[in-house]
Amino acid sequence: MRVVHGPIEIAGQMGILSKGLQDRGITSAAYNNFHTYLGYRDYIHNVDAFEIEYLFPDVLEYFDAFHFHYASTMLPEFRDLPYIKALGKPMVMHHWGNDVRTHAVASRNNPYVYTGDSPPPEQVHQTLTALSSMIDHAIVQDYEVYSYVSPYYKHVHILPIAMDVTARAPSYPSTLETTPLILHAPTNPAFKGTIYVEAAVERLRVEGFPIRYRRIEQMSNAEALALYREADIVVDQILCGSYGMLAVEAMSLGKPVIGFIREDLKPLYPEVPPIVSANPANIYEVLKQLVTSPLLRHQLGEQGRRYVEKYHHLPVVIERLLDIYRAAGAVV
Amino acid sequence: MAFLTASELGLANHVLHCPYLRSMNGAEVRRWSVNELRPAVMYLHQNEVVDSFFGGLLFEADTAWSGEGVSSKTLGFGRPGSLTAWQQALDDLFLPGFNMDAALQVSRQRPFQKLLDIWVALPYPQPAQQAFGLLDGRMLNFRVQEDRITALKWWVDQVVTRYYALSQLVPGHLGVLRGFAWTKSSLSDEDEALASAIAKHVHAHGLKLMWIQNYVSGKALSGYNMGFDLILMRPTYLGIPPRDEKWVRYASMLAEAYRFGMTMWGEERINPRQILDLMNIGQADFMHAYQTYELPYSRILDWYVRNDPLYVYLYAYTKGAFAKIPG
Repeated sequence: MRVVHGPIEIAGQMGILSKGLQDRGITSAAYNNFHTYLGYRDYIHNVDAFEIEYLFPDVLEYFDAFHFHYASTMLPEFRDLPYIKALGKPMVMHHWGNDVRTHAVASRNNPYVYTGDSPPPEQVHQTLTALSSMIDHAIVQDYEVYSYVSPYYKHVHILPIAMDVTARAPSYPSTLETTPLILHAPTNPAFKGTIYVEAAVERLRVEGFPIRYRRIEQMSNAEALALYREADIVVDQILCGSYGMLAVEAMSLGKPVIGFIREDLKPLYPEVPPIVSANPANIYEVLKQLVTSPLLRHQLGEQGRRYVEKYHHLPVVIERLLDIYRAAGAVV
Repeated sequence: MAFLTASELGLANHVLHCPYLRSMNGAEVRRWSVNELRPAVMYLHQNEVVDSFFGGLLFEADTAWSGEGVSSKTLGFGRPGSLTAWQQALDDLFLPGFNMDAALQVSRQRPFQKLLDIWVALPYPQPAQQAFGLLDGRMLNFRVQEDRITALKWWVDQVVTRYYALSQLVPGHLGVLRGFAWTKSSLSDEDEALASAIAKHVHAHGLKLMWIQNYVSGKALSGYNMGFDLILMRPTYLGIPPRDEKWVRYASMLAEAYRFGMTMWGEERINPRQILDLMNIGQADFMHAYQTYELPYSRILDWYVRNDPLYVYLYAYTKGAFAKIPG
């Protein structure tokens, strides 16, 4: 089978999924036209939107299954979808959150969520209506995103964020560290709740707790990963209500992670993630607890590593993805 | 504000893209014979030569026999090209009786001794290719920028050497090797540096470097500073909404503003009218600009044999005598 991914790389996931499929002997190509300072380049072809349009007739002919990402397809206005559908080729749409998150739904169970960078609700509705008229199967990373798309698609599948965990040796925080390094890497500070994180850090500093803090921004993912390795505590996102790529990367490195996990979502994960839940109201207390507990940091790091090995490791995720492809009609 | 023109460059206008080797899906074998090139290089009527037709040919290898990609268009289609794939592309380009040899042979029939411009597309050294092959005893790794430059310089030197060797074997031909084409539309920073290095190398051979890009792809506006001698604009018009006549006109306005030529993309799989639409728009707009034509393999021969009016329309267009075809 030949699978094509495109056209937007989010958190390196197109590339990693493509790699996982290739490792299983499946021809997989990923085209990305969304270029950021994160500089993803492994297992993807960085092109522009016009190149994707130019390639479309050949892509249509060559590939057997289409895996789209971030509510985008290969041609403007989803004009490619009728051609793919007419050939009976399976399609799935992978939504990542900010492409579909609306404030009305997001705020039902979450007083903190920030949706300022999501499209307007009318646009989200229009997009999902158009996509689901052509595509039956959607993929989301967790039940936080599930709620936005489930009214539209016939089938919505949960596929955890993928990571090649074995490619990354853990670096558990030392129990001897007396001045822990707190790391936060906001690609979008308003969405991640950076202002609350930094206020809590500042308060700890003023109160005389021995801490170091580093905010990682405007850096390629490869450079950022090298720095995560040095961290003693990683703060992911504390508004959204679920965890993201930074948490998975940090857990794979054996780091304790702080992030906001909504209470109603906890039972919906296959196992409650070993992430210390914090929101703007209690981030100071949670941080203080970890800053003063080196042993807890170490234990959480070990738990996190085990968790990502079990649920986020690439071969595990790829098995699930192949099931989704089969459900969408692919012969795998 | 003016389009790029053939006359200012001392070139022949209207260059037909000739994809060769395997198609992207690997199913079609493409070798241009004299029979296939004749109705493109000359305008024929009832098998008689009436006039010259396309002013040049641009050969581009897509996928090698090995299934490895050679052209930038094959990104994602099979494995990235190794040295073996590039050698297959070179060998087939100079295969006796086909492609370059056929072009030179058929050029002898051009009326009024009209020269036939020859262009060759550069392969795309895919950055993910870590074991390209041994050149001068060294394994090239395209993660290393210098190795990409080395490989492309080798390709240019091979084409030039083989072209002049072949040229001696076809007396009286009217072919003129004009240069090379970079066909990757968007450029990474590494691609930009690579293109600049290759431009210098091509110029050292006394040849030109052409860039075919889509609708002002990133960096197109600085393309002449990079060393490209010709920049062409493909309007990326598939013949379906939301792209429309207005879209193509915007593209041509930009081409005119930045002294680009135009590329006529006649893909038929989405809308068979695509090339006709472009000619209809072009006749009032960019018909006299420097232009290249991307049509399906051997389609000119098909049109000629089937008496398809598109054969006549296209000829008229290249002569600046096309009038809009309603429909």
